[in-house]
Amino acid sequence: MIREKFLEVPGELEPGADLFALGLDSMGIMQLLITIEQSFGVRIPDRAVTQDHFRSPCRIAQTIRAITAGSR
Amino acid sequence: MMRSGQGRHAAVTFLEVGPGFSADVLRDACRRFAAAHPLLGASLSRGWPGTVPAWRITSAPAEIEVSKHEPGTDVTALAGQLMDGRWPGLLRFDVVPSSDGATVLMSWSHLLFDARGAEMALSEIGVLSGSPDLNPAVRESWGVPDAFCSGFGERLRKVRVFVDRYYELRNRRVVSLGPPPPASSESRCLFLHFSESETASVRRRGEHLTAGIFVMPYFLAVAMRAHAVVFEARGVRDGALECAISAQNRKRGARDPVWQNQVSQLFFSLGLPQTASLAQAAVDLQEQFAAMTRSGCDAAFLIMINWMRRLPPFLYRRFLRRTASGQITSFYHAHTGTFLPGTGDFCGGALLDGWHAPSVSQPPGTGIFLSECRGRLTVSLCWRDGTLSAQERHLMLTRLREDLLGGEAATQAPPPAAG
Repeated sequence: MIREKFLEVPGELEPGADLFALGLDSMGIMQLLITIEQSFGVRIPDRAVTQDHFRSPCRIAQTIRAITAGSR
Repeated sequence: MMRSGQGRHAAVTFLEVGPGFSADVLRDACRRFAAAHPLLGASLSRGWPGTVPAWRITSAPAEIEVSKHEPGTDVTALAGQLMDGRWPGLLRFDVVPSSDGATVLMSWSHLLFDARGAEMALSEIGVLSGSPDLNPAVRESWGVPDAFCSGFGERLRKVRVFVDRYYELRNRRVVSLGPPPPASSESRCLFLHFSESETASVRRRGEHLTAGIFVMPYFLAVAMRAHAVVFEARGVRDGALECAISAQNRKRGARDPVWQNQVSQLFFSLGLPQTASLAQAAVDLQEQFAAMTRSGCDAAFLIMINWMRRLPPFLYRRFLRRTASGQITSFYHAHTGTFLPGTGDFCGGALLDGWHAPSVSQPPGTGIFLSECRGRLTVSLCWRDGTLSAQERHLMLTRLREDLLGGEAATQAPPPAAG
């Protein structure tokens, strides 16, 4: 999803890749957040929108898992 | 702008390059770049009277002028002249040599490029400069970005978001520093350069105020407060600051399309009293950012603008005059992020620094633009003659430094002279 819509990266996007270093900016993060919410049916609370939680695809996945686990 | 004597909508990109830079290498790279992009030889014209202007290729390949100036030429004053766009063509370079390299000014038509596209063009020219035998294939077409969905009914439903936002903002009295009505005036610019340590401090401060992730609202709040301090000095205490921020449609890290119209817009507004606290202003703008993005305002604007592109410009100018009294923005603003990421050398010289200086229309008469290169922030203040006095510029710059660095910065180095 990230490679398809938000970031142009050569080759595969590694799970631990630093998205900010690859160029993801404020607008891109917000657009990514909305897409994640719509795709996974979750609402990401403001307190979860931090650099640490959005730093890499791996961290984003962990954040989504934590939110969905917490909402059950 | 042309009709009111303000010249064309153009911008100048500065590059500071180190020893080894060659204007001849640049000239050759530009020749091959122009050959690959016939659109550079286009002019905006109407096929029939009353129809929508379109880009029509009149001379391909274009000749991109590379002009060399005497060492010691005042580059800021030169940039001011170039920003008015009174030069032929759509793209040109001016080189001012120095003892340790050169300052390269790339002037570009803002009708054809945006800042991100201008950097992509620079990146492509840089690649060509390093490969003298490379002749890229001709790029004939780029297409028009889709407005995110198909079907007229769905577009009509989605565009409502922008329409609602537009009329919500029209209920506020938008103020700008430029004197009405549009008048002939020259472009001016000056720059604030921050060291690496200062830039790191700016970043930490922004991250602290915005919880670390959405720094765009922080920089917009800084730009709004820089304007608010001038309004305060003028005794203007009510009215609203409105500013449109571009939202890129290009994927981050993409190397194309080079041309304009790869953005949508989000529309922010704060009343002058709401700018009293930087922290609160940043929070308020962040809330607007989240609300507009969640509601799809950027997609809605894109749908609207795609429909409007078929209308003769006089129709929507009339609409804007009727609904907005001609005032649709208080100032221009953008933070274009890292300047030319991934570019180490440009035409033989190391890239040392770079930033943009777009011309602004009057009204509103002012713009504040930011970018970072090699870990150093540059703030460009661009304005039209007659919009800001020297004292008002000093107020703005003092407020900018205070907000970016913290209160102590106000007592540090005086602002640079204007161009």
